[in-house]
Amino acid sequence: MRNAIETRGLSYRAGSFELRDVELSVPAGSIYGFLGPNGAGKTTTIRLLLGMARPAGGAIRLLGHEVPAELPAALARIGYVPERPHVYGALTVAEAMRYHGAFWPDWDGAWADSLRRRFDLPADRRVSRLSKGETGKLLILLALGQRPELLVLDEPTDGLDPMVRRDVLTAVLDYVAETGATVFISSHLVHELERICDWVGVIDHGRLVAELPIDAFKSGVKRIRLAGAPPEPSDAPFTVLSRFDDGLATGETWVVRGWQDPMRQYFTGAGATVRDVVDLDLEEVFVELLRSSRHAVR
Amino acid sequence: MFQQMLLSGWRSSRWVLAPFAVAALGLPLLAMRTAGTAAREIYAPGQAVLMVMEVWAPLFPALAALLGIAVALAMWSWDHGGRHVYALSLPLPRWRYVLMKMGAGAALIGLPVGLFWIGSLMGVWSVDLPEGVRAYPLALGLRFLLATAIAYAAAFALAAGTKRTVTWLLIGLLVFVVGGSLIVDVIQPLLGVDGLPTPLDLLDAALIDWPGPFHVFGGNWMLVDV
Amino acid sequence: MSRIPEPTAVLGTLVLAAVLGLLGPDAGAAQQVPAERDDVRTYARAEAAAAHARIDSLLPLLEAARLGEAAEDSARAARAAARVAELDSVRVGPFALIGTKGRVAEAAPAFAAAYTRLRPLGQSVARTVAGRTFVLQRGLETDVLRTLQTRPRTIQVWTGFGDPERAAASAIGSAVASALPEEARGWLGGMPVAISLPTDQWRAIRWRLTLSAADAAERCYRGDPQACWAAMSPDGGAGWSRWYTPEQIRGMVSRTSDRFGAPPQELRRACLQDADAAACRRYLADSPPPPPLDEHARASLLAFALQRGGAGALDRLIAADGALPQRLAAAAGTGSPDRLILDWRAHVLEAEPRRAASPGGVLMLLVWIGVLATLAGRSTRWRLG
Repeated sequence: MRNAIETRGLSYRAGSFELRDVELSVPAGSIYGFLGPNGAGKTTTIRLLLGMARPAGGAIRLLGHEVPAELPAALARIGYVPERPHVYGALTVAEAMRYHGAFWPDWDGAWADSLRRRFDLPADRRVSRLSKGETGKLLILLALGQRPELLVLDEPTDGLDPMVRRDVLTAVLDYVAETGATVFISSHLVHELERICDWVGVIDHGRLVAELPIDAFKSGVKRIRLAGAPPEPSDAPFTVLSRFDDGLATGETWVVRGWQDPMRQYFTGAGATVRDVVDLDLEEVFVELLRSSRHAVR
Repeated sequence: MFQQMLLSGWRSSRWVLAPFAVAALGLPLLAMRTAGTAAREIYAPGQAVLMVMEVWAPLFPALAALLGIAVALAMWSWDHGGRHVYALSLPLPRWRYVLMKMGAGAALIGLPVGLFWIGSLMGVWSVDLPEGVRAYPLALGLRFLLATAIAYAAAFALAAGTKRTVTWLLIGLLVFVVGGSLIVDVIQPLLGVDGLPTPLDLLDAALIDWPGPFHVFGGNWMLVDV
Repeated sequence: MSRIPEPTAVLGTLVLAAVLGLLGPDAGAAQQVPAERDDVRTYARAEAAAAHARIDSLLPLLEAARLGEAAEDSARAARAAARVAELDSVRVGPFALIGTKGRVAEAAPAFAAAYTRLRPLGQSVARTVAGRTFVLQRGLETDVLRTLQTRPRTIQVWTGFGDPERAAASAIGSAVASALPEEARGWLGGMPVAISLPTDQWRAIRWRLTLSAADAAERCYRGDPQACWAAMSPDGGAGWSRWYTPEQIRGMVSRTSDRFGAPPQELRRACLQDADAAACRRYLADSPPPPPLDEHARASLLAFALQRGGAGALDRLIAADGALPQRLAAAAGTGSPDRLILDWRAHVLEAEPRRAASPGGVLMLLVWIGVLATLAGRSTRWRLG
């Protein structure tokens, strides 16, 4: 199986929000970061993938299973951590683990219990009385205890302190290293995903703006400071994501994608000089990409 | 799976079940206690006992209905609170999840129903009834069980639906009753007839009369009878 | 046609005229009452004469009003007679039905069926209903009904509400009851003759027999045939107290409350505190309790006897000699009135009220629970959008 998650022409509409032609391809065994600002459609996409919302059109396959026709079979192999805790608050941690474990055929009770001790979760405390961090750990514990082939994590570390975030992500990475499972993790905390993801998908206003390996995502995007009169970018050998005056009346700053060093010729040929080429981090790339995408839409 | 469903159902509904269990045990006991007082009348003790029973009799179907509805709502309360996300993420078909939950709730209402039977039997054993009247605790208990079961099933099915479904259902019912009554009021004088059935008559015939789902509520609820 | 004034208006005018005439200016101008006795007599005679004269003058007006009212009645009767001609009628066996078209068509089969069930009871059935006309009252105006009632042939008025078969049986049975001997008619208390009763009526009779406060009914319940006959008698007259024990009578007295027109409280005290049985009886003498078993129970015994007796049962009852128990036994074809009443008692006690749901009811409920479970199972998973 090449892709753990595949969507073709996925679309959805609710009120004024619309998801249009989302084509996801999450390679099996990858850690796929699903990025987007608040309200972009990340949680909606995840709900569509897991059969909790009805798409207006398109096709979905999870681990080779058609959704929703083979949904129970797919869900039996998927560990899901939602944006908001979904476990029954009146149960204790131990009861929640027993309840959860009863529904998954591959539930590993012993391993789940070891995770509970590792996370330092009291077995007899009610879920509703756990702190935010403890609840986050419990949700990860329940998802991992199923021994899933695919983990779908919807903003799992949102609102958690750095130590808890580290514990959670470490547990996930350890599991992936051990089993080779696929992880589909959504977040707006770009810097956090930068460290763990090897694939990135960016969604904005219901449209998938980009989907590529993270190295290619980062490496091909540069900030170029120019001196002199800049050319028109219509015939440039790279993609201009944005350009703006540097405020010093000496030239412009361009953010481009697909840059390679020999492309300096393009500027010198037009009478401008490349003063500086700067690498961007993932967050900067993400922002520039969104800015460019919104400008293109306008 | 069903065991866990039963346990979670118990946890979600136990504080609802408790007062109903007390009422189910106590109501027939109280009824027989007052019947015992009436049975000591010198003049027409049998009639006195039946008059007492006629006062208590409507409380039994009311208790059955409330018990069924309360447990059904309690069974769905946790899922409604979490917008059903947990239930929808479970790896089993929706219909199977729903039926398991329904079965779990049905098993739980067995507790107050059993207590009702026990209360009826205890009450009957504690009273000397006058000649001509007899107690029917088993028959009444069976009727109580059936009434609770159908009330539970109806409330459970309604609570399983979305808010949208329930809203449309209620709107439809309102339009049918109010609109239908207006139409009947207009048509009758136009056609020069009277006695056309009203929407409430039709609902009554469909739901409460035989073979409607709630016909058991209209039967004989006397714990003591001739 | 000349315009005839409304009789009521005329009569009212006459009354007013009479009052005004008596109290009018003439009265105002009447002489002052003289002080002497002879003058008073003269005055009274004069006043009486004046009153007579006024009344005599009013007589023609009164006569005119009466004639007008009679004419109005005639006109109304004529209109009603015309509407009667528009009604539908049909012959059913030896009798006829008359009423509005729809009602006659609806009632005819019911009457035919009811007559078929009663006819085997004997020639007296056919003889009694032959030539009668049953009026289906529902939908008919009062004037039309009144006109139909004045027809020379015997008419039975039937309200025509409710279950047609039951009502037809009741109408024919009421007519047949007129063939019974006087003693039996009085005993039946106006109830129709029937050959079968619906289950709910047997249940009601069972309820009454079981719960009656009368000693006679209690002993009948336990199987004493003489007590059953005693409880069946319609009117105790002064002998109502034989239905009850002294303790029961005392219990009845204790349940009465002090009311306007109640017997003297000394009687009540003597009854309750001194256990004076005679005082108890005297206390309740003005409003004695009803018979333990009412006319419905008696009608049920007659129906039971007729059904047991089969063909010719009613004729045998009419032809038999002796008291009513012997007549009923003859109708039933049994030599023993006690046997008859005990069998009737057993039949009554079998009419138990419905207890738990019937097997069909339980099955139907299970079907409904299945339907509801299916609806619940089909509840949509698309709840989040």
